[in-house]
Amino acid sequence: MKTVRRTSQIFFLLLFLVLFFQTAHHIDWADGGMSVSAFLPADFFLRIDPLLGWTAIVASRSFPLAVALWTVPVLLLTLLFGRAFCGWVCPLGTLVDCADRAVRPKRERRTKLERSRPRLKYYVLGAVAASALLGSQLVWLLDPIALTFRSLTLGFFAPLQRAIQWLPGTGRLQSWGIFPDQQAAYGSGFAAALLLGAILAGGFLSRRFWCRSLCPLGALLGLIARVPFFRRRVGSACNECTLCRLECKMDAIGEKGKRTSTAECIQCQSCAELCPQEAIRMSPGRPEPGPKLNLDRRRLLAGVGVGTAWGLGAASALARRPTRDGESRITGKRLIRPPGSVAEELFTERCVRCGACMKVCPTNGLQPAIVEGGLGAIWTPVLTPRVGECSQNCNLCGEVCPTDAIEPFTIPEKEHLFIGRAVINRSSCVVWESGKQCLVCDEVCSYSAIYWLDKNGSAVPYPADGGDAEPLQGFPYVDPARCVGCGICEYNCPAGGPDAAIRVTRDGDKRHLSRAEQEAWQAANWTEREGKPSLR
Amino acid sequence: MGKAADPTSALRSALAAAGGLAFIRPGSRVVLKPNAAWSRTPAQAANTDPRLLTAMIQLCREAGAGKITVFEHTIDRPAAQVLAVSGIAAAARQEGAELIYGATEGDFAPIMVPRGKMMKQDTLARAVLEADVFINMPKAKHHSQTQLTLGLKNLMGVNFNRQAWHSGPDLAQYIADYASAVAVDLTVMDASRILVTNGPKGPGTIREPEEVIVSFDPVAADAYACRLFDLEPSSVAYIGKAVELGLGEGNPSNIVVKRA
Repeated sequence: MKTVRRTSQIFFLLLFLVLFFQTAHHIDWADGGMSVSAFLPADFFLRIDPLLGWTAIVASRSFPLAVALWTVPVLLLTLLFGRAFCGWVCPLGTLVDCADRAVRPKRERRTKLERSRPRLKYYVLGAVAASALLGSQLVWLLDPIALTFRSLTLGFFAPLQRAIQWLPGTGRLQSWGIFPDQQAAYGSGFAAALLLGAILAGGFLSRRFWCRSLCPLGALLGLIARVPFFRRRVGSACNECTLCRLECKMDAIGEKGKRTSTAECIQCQSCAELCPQEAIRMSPGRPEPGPKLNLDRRRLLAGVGVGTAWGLGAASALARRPTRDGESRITGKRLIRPPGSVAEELFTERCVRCGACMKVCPTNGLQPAIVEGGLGAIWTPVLTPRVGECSQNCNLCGEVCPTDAIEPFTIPEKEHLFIGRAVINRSSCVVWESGKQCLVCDEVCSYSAIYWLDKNGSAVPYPADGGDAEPLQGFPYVDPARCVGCGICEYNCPAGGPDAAIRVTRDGDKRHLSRAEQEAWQAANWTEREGKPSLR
Repeated sequence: MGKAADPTSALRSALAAAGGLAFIRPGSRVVLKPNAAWSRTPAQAANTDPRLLTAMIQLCREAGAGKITVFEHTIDRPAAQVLAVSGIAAAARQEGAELIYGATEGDFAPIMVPRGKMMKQDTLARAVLEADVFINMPKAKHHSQTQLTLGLKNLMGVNFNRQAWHSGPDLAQYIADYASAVAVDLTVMDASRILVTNGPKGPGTIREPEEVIVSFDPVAADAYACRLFDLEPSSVAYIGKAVELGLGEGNPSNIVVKRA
């Protein structure tokens, strides 16, 4: 059984890693269509995670049916088999098992000196639940699936790409589609890696320290697994040798080896295999009462209090405030969300910070927010055009988002999904500032949003009408009905060093409007311009 | 210059009139540089027509070329998608040519520009440096800054840091200087369907002169192509600067045009 369990663990860990690397763009060579490479939904693990799904539902006070349905299999599994997800499926659990073997020498594995705080995770869950009830996410910090995906994306992916490109013979790896064209780089990668490293180092305290003591998903499944249909049952042959109790890596077995805390048992079956009397079976049958959950009320309250404080603090420190006309007033000037994102207030509630959108973004332009969006938006995706633009023919972030914080969208729709607007800084633009001939923003613009007038805003005679006359100097302006805020101008702008002379700000953000309303707004504000394509 | 509704036959007749590809020695390494900077479909006429690339690869192979490489440094990203959308990738892959999208600095090597007035050194794609024959395959189209994108302008795509040219004092001089350091063996210009407004990326108005221009003189090809846009070569600054550097003939009345 141990072999079967290990096979399952390795299978799901590999599946997780394969899907992680397949959270990348796949290009159809015939027509240039882009899709996510994965053979399953790339966010498969994120979607089946009930904690992520349900906190997103509770916090956003909306009910995307698909999000709820995806969580059903794990919930059913838990009703039948207790925390089998933790022991057989969870990729972080498997990583923890691997790390435990590395940091705990074999003779130390079975010892009473292991320290764990089994009730602590319920307080963590209390904090998560309280913050979700108050409409602000906290689950992203410690949910095992989101955390692992994010840490791999932010902390490990870019260094891995760098390392692989150093190896001989792998110079053209980008054609495999696993790595982006350019070297990936993510902000706050070290912090993300550190978090995962700290969790894996929990092995110094006890085996599966994370799963025993801290994991909020483990706590949620533990609550559901109070009376599972299949459970550990000890027969009369038991002579109370308590070998099983020492072997149990979850500390789920009572002092005499007979009682089982089903909220802790991850159904690894090690005890059943170990038992010299062969008295232990994992079998179906009537529920048996387990040990009481006996939570410390004050500590639970403290957990809930932390969650409440976070929820209130995040809500008050959030970088948005709905104004009277319903528009989100986003205080972070540079808080540009991917197209397809829901309105900012809903966005921070739905986003579970898994990093899948940042992983899949082909230009590396989606970067983790650190302070841009306030306390309630840490590690949410922000389009950072100086790193990479939002590529016109790409809609992959909407495809991989597990909680529909970024709703799926089509490429034609991007023409009226307003995520921001480019603004020209006239004191650093080489045309405005020193009268040079530069039109990079115009030539790269995918939406024909740059137009040319003289300094006072009157028309410049178009030079293409022939003759030898030198064209008059025109100056670039941004058309707000055409500019959606993709940032390709900012990426390519030759001026300004780290700060381009044309920058996208959140001013054009219209995510508070439905897609139809945004399209109508575009039509209502449209100006025909010579040489620029008219509205379809 | 060849004129036909089908760019492939226009190319064949133009090449025949120009004397063919006899200069390609058997086994030589050929690099083709189409203009495929933008994530635009062939119908939008912002990139070199992939049919022309297909025909060119076939002709090079018939002429005995060895390894054939298609090189482009796209502006839109991701590069592979741009080349796929533009049809360039499919054409290269079908014909078995190597496809390089120079997305990283490692694809380029530094070169000196001894004759340059402003530019003294820059970078050139390694593929072009290592090639025996370099064929420039520009798209003739409107360009918001330089009036027109033609052959000389297309060479911006074998250099790595384009931004530096734009922020420099004079883009036209940079284009001419750079052309003085990059030996183009043949220019094959796609003027079958040309973008006359909102270039270089479009979408814009398309005119259909149905021409393919083949020239051993890179400046003459550009000077001739101005006619298609009702412009004089003098209004495209980089042509004049290239003539000053002695890179070719810029006066239309001195250019011998063989129509086929």
